[in-house]
Amino acid sequence: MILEIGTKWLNEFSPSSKALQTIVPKVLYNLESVNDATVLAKWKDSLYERFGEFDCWFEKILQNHLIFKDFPINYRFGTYEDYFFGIFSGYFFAKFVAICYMADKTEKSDLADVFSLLYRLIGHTNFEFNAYVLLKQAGLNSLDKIKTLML
Amino acid sequence: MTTCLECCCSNSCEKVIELLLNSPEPLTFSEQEITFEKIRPTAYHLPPESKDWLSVLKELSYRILLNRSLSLNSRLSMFGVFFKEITVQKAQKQIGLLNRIFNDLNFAIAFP
Repeated sequence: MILEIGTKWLNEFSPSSKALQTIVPKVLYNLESVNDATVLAKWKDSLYERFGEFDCWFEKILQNHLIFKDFPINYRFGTYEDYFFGIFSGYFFAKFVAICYMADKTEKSDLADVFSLLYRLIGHTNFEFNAYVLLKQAGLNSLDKIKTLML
Repeated sequence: MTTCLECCCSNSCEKVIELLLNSPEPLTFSEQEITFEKIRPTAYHLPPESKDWLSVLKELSYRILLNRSLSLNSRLSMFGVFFKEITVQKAQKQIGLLNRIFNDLNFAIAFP
C-alpha cells in the first residue's frame, strides 16, 4: 500500500510542481527495483542509522510548517479529523520521498535539499487538501487505515 | 507597524532546513520587533471564545507533537486520535471538553 500510494502521489503532484520534478526521476529510479515494502523499511532503518536524530529534526520541520501555516487557524478544511488527514498526508509524503531519495545518499546536505524541495510543494500549495482527497479516493478514510502508511 | 504573535521562515528554504537539522533541540520562540514594509501579515478577526479555544487547541497539539517520550509515528497517531475525538465529541469552542479529551488520551497511553 505504501509503495502504491507513494508512487501514485509522485506522479500525481510532479506535473504541477517544478520543485518535485527535480527529485522525482531519482526517486522513481530508486523505486524501480523495489517490489515490496520491506525494502522501504530497510532504507528507513539505514537512514535512521546514518542520522540518529532524524525524528527530532523531522519534528522541528513539522512544527515549523504548522507555525508557517498559522495552525490551527488557517487553511483548515472539513472536520478536525479531516484536517488531521491533510497534516498526516504531508508527514507521510515527505517521509516517503526523503527515505526513497536518500537510499543511496549519505550527506546531510542531500536531506536538507530534499526537504526544502518537498516543502515548496507541501507549504506553498493546496497540497494537504489535495492529498486528503487522494487518501479518501484510495479508501484510506480512517485512522486505522492510514496506519498502513506509517513508515 | 503591524504586530503579530508568531512568525517563522518557510521550510522551502534550504538554509532554514539546514538550521533545523543543525541540532536536535526543540524549536523555541524569541520575541523581537519586526517591521513589515511591503508584506502585511495575515490578520484574523475571531470572536474571543474562538480565539481562546484555538489557542488551547494549538498548545495541546504541540504538546502531543513535542512529546519525545514517544516515537514520531506514535505522536502522529495520537494527534489523529485527538482530532478525531474533537470531531466525534463536538468539542469546538469547549475548552473544558478539549482538555478532558487530551487528558483521557494521555491516561490511555500511560495505562494502556
